[in-house]
Amino acid sequence: MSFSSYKPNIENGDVAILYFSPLNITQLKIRHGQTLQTSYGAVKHADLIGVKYGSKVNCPKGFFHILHPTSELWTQAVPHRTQILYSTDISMITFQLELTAGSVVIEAGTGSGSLSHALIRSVLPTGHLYTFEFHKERYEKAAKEFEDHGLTENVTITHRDVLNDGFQLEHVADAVFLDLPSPWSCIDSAKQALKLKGGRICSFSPCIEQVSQTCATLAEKGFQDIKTLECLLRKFHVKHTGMPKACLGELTEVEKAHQAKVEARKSQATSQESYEYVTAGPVHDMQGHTGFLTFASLYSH
Amino acid sequence: MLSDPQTTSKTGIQEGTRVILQKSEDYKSVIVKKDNVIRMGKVRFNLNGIIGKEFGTQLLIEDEKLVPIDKPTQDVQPMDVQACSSDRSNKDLTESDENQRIKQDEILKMKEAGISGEEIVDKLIENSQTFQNKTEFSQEKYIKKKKEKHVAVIRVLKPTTRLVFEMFYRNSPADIGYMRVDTFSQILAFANIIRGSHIGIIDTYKGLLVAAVLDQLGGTGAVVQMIPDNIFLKDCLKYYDLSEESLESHYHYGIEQLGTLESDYNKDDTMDQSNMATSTSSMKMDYETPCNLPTDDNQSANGTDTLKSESVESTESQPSKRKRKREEKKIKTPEELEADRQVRLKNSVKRKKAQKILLDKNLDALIISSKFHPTPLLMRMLEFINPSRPVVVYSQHIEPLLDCYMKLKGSGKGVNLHITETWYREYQVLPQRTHPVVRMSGTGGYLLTFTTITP
Repeated sequence: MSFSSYKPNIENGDVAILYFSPLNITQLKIRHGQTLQTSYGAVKHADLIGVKYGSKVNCPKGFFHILHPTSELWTQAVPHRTQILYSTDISMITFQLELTAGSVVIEAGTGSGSLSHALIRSVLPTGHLYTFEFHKERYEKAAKEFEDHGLTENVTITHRDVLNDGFQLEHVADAVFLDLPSPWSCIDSAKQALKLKGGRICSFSPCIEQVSQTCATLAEKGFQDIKTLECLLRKFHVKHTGMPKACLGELTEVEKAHQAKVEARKSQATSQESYEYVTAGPVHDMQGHTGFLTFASLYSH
Repeated sequence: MLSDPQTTSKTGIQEGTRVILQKSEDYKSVIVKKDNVIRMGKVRFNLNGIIGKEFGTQLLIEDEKLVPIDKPTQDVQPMDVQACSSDRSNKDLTESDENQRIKQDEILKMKEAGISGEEIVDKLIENSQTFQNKTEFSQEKYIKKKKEKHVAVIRVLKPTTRLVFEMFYRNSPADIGYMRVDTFSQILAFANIIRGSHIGIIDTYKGLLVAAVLDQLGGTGAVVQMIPDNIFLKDCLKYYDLSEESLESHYHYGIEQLGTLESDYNKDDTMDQSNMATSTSSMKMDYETPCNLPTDDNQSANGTDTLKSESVESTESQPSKRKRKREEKKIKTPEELEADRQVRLKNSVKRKKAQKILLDKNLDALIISSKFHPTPLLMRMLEFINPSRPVVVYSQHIEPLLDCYMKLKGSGKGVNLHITETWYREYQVLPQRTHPVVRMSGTGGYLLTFTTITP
């Protein structure tokens, strides 16, 4: 039950997040009797049971922190079976779809389940996620993950190609999320799945041509307040750094200074004067595109 | 077709319901009351037409009344036009007063005569010298512009976090620290708000985050709002339709009282009477300290607050409310005194519960978004949070977060530290005319996020 509520200590069967560094975050299902191999050496699962979440775990050649899972950490640690959605887009989706405790939401396709966990979290405890995946193996793996994470009560996963066969749901959903190659062919089915009082829809597409066709279909089917947007994450690299001060060569002092400098360099190579500061600059390499998010409302229909 | 029971409420919106009115990109929060006249932009109308309607209904403003609309209007009209196939162009258009044969006073006369907005727009098109020579795109743009001016349509919506946020962002972004929707949604996501959790919040921006988190918790768990310098803001709560349980799960505690937290808690335990006195005095302090942002009571006093004067209509006129308040103060019946005592008792119980959460170091998330320097607040509040929990700090500028970051790095109290900002852009999507919206926001503020660890 660790995804749907917090608990203090690690128990057998939990899924925990292992934090080595910002770029090395993995997940681990704790099973008594097994051993974890890390680049810092081996750790017995049994030694982790009973440990407080948030603790530092020492390995033979280093350490890591063991963390309580959250859907954001899961997104950082999830085994990639497909291209996944990241937290920036995910938070925009859950917010714009107006998900709250008790909402019913539909997702297609499930993919690696990165978004699914955030959708379920937003509708707990009484809400439900209907998620659809057309790839058999991905469907099976996602189903297993939901079970491992104690989320089965709040999610129904179906193995189906919704582009051809639709959702086959009638007026149960408050929101629909589409991440499909041709989302426009699913909008009729989505409309049928939305409650009669209406609801929200979101479509995620990497290409502008897809967006164009989706928006036209949404308008044609009576969806309102259609809005397309894009958001990208800019990470900042924080560091304490410095710049050497150039010698401006004041002539009267120059010989004295030079003399002193030569002396100083001889005795201590690093004592050059410098201007020091803390800075945050955007990292050089960033993700420049994920996809366009199109949102729309359907009012009572 | 099957229908779920929730959708078949036959009664519709009743008097006393909090709704949000949407007029194209403009939002306004009102309580539905008969004969209450409100203003949105240039139009005035009463709310009588809303009573009995369902959420999501579109209504036409005509003659200061809201009347049902025949066919829904839409922002985006799909059109089968090819940009390159058009043989017309705007090359011969020149700006001239003569282009439109109908003059302003004639439009006013038509309006007085009760001619509908749609008809006026048709007449304007008929009498435009240049309309026929415009490209399809220019024609569409012309119609859209004229319709916006002469056909006033509003939509009645149920208050949600998205709409309340949108309303604040459009009307008074300074009040919410220029936080943009992408930043706001990330704060809510990173805080991992799950059922039953205890969320610590420092929010001096209208309490918008407090309200959003309460809504998300749905009456479970607790929001412990930490009050810096007695600035207790919970304005936003009233724009929502929060349940009684949700409001009950809202606790607050003065930050400067953290120093005596343990002794206060124990004192409460032993001496019931004095506990009541201390708790009321501190409550009073919280409420009576003049806030820099208005609550209902000093609403009219603050003329510069555009949101208040533009977006929020009080259902009662201010003078009558004040008078009533004064009368209340003068005479108090035994029943009222008893009610007061009950309120005080309840407050003291709630206060104790908040103290208990803090004493047990049992917060499950921490959100800081305030006008105060975040480092001291953050370092103090970290004493009250469980290990392996998310913390989010918002700042309009990056420097205060750098300070937090360096201090945290040094203290070793968190992992997965990130300072981020998001780049956000909206698009106009129309056949052959898709492009980014011309004006965009340059910044939505910065976030520091991390996860706490065991000491």
